[in-house]
Amino acid sequence: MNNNVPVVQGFAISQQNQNQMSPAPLVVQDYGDNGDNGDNFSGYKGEPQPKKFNDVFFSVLFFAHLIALACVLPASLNAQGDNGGGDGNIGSIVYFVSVCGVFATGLSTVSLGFMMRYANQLVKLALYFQIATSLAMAILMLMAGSIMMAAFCGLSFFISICYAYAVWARIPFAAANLNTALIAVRANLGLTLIAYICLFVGFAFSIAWVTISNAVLNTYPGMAFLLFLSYYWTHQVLSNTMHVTSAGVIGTWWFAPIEASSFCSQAIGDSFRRASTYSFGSICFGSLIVAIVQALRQMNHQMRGNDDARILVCIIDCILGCIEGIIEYFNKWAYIYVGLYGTSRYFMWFVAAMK
Amino acid sequence: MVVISHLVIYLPIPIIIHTRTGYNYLDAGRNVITLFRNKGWTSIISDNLADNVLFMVSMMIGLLTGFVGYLVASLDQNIFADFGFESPGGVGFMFGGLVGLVLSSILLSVVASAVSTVIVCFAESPAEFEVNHPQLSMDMRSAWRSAWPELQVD
Repeated sequence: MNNNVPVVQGFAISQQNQNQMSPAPLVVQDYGDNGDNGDNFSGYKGEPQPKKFNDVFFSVLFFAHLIALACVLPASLNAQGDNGGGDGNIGSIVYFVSVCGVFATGLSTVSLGFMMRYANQLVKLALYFQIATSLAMAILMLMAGSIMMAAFCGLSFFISICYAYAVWARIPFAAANLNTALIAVRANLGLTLIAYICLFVGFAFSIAWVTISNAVLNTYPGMAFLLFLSYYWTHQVLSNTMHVTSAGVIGTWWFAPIEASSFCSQAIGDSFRRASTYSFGSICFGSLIVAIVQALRQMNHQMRGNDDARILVCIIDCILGCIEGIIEYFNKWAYIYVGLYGTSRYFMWFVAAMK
Repeated sequence: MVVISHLVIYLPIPIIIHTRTGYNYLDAGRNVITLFRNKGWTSIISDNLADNVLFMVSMMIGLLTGFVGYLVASLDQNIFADFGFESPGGVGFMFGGLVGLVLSSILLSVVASAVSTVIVCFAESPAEFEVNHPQLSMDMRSAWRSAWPELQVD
């Protein structure tokens, strides 16, 4: 706990550099009512973890599941072969998607600079946007004659106003925070390339998954849960790998900017390698937990057709939605630490957090 | 509704954050209360406000790409001809908007990860930030002071 050498992804900043770091840490002093805290709590630092593969079981399980799917794929393709054809227009669709894709990617990249320039105004605008959306929804619902939904949207409108009022003073900090993040991302723009590759892999997987699930469900309808699980698990793993990689790169930019300030900086490769090797088991584990809840939710959605159990379905959906939100939020922060401090046993945190 | 659900979800986070480092759970809990009082809500609100901006920008990019899709589909009526839709422009708008939304949210999700990472790093290692990125550090510190003028900040 008394480790004060900043360590990012296993490398420590030099001692000489340490000595220059004399500016006092930003600590809010004295809340007036806390006499005994912070006696031996030196800062809020995480500790470096030894380089080793963690939660290996889950990465093995994940790869086993992918291999199983790959084995089923050829048979599924054969089964689907007879109803193909009729899509001679694929060339023009590719053209359409390319035009829109290039435009959207270019605009997104430009928007990074735009957001840096107007961070403060945009944070305010986003609050107004939230308020305006709930008001517009309330009016729409009222016009559609759904009083109940209109009341909910009205409540949401009211809460949005209260929220905006409460957080108004914190806007400059949020804007500075956003600005710092944008500068860090712009310094390592190659990171977005990995994100697009992940998107492409996810897209390819989805297509394969649709083919497989069509074939499997025809013969074994009981496999629906496992198929949904596989779908959500893979997508969660992809997005969390990206999240861990980003956290690693931004952490390196924070502690050792030299290694993380070019389009394809060393930090990007290193972070991605760590995320897909040492930390991959932890990523698979956390993703599996979310995926189980998501798959249960999906199964629950399938029951909607049944009129008798409509209220029950809604209640279950609400509970599962809350659980999903909590676990996703937990993962979000947990994976930042995985990315920053190399590997940490996800399982240990999970048990500790659930106590 | 969104705000309420956020509040419910955010509450246990600081406790969770600190269990990671292998502190004794009770120690971590006590230290976390300090962190929570000092920075907890700031981090959460800052994170949430930045996410709002990213969501809004993503929607805007989706909308603009939708218009491009509308133009492309209107200029070349054959693109969606095989699918039997009545108005190719409308389909172009929807489909283009979807492409824009997905692609921009992928890029902005990297920014969202960066925002959360910056929060954690700022809470844990402000001194290193000061040395490596003095200007940004000054901006964030002064923004912190303007949010809590009554609290002394070193």
